[in-house]
Amino acid sequence: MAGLKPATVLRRAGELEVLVTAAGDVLVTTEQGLVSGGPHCLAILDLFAEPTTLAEALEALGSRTGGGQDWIDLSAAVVRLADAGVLLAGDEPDPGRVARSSFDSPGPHVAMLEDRARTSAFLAALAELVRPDDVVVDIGTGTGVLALGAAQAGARHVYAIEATPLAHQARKVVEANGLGDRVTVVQGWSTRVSLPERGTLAVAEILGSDALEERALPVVLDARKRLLAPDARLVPSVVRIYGVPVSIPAERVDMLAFTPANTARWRSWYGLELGPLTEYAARLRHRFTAPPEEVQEWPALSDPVLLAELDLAALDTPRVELVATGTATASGGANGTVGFFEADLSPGVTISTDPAGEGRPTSWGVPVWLVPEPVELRRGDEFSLEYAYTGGGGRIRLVP
Amino acid sequence: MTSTEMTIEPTSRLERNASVAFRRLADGEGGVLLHLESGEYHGINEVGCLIWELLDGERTVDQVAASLRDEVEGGPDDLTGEVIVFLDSLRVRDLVR
Repeated sequence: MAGLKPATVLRRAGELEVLVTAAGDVLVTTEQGLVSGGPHCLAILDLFAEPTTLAEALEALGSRTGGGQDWIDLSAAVVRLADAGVLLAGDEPDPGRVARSSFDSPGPHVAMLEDRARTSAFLAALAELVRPDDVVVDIGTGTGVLALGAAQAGARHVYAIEATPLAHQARKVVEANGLGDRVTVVQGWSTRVSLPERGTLAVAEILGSDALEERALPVVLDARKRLLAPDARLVPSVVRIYGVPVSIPAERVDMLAFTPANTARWRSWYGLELGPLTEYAARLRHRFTAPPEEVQEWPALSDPVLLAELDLAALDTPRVELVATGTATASGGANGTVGFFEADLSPGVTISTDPAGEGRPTSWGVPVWLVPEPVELRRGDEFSLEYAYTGGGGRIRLVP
Repeated sequence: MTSTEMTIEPTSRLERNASVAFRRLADGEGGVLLHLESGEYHGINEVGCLIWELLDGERTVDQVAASLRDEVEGGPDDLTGEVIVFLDSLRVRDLVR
């Protein structure tokens, strides 16, 4: 308990494994083994998702307790979790464990910073849009690069929101660039934080390979309601989602799904009948991400079909369910659909993840959905593509 | 002289140890003090809670007793003496300084 005081600010460590037992105890995995967080552990971990003083936390958590012994047990659990490194004080770094969730590890951020087309496009849009009286809200700031871009473009103030412990590093990056007086890093989910003033411009670089898979729509809707002025400008402002039916080479599909070809091969190798697995595969909505240079080799059976055009300033629901029709420009078996998006970042800057595009950003892969039962298309045939985003990832379905 | 050796006088000023967390329990049940350095818990009654909340480092023991007299009916004649006894028990446990 050395060093803990009521004024000590604690926060939850980055990624935790938690086991809830049948008896209601909550065990947290640490490098020293399992530590018991007690029956109030989930509430404790939830409260410390954002930096909070020990005194404030004990006060807030105290209302959950029954009598004195319950409070003793709860406060002892808090101290125990702090001793075990589950709760960290101040600038104490996260223990050096392998980060398994994607955005608190360096990999994705290195890829984005190496993606000059992507990062430069966002910086150029900010340079075009930011005015001296702007309060900019950067949702999902990561390393802080776009927050710095907004400040350098002249924003009066920037609030840079980041849910992962990378926020601490973003603060150091801000200081290293001498912008600590105009850029405030706020750690937490944008849907949970509060800001001292409303933003006049928001940048939300939270588009996934499947454009909406990082919850861009609910995040933007929430930001418009709670964090932004009514007429705030958005970067991106419009996202267009496209789909294309394709013929994926059989040998590629063989690596991803149970097919008659690979189950026959396994029968010959192992003497086992695995054919029923193909029926299971037929019921799956199987999606994977492929590199654009591979997707470019697959025959496309139509021009890109515009599935959705989303004006993020006008959107009033986080759900998208649309059907669009297209015309086959080539004949072939459509066993997959490929998706990509265009995003208008500013009047002068649009980015596109079209796998066939020149100068395409490199850090986004191409989402591909397998068609469970391939559809034979002949040139000139009309087909329908159904696009749905209902809260998880998006889904493009070829409707036979 | 360390805080555990000092003699508490009516003119002494004591304050809560910053390493101590305090929880007031439901009405009438007193409170719990947690010394964060030692990990020890101490239960105090309602009157003890009132005294604890008055220990801001500015009030003398006499002033604490006077405030207490205003809030609690039927206290002992030597309230200051009783308060000193209580404060001494907190001091030896490093809960006040």
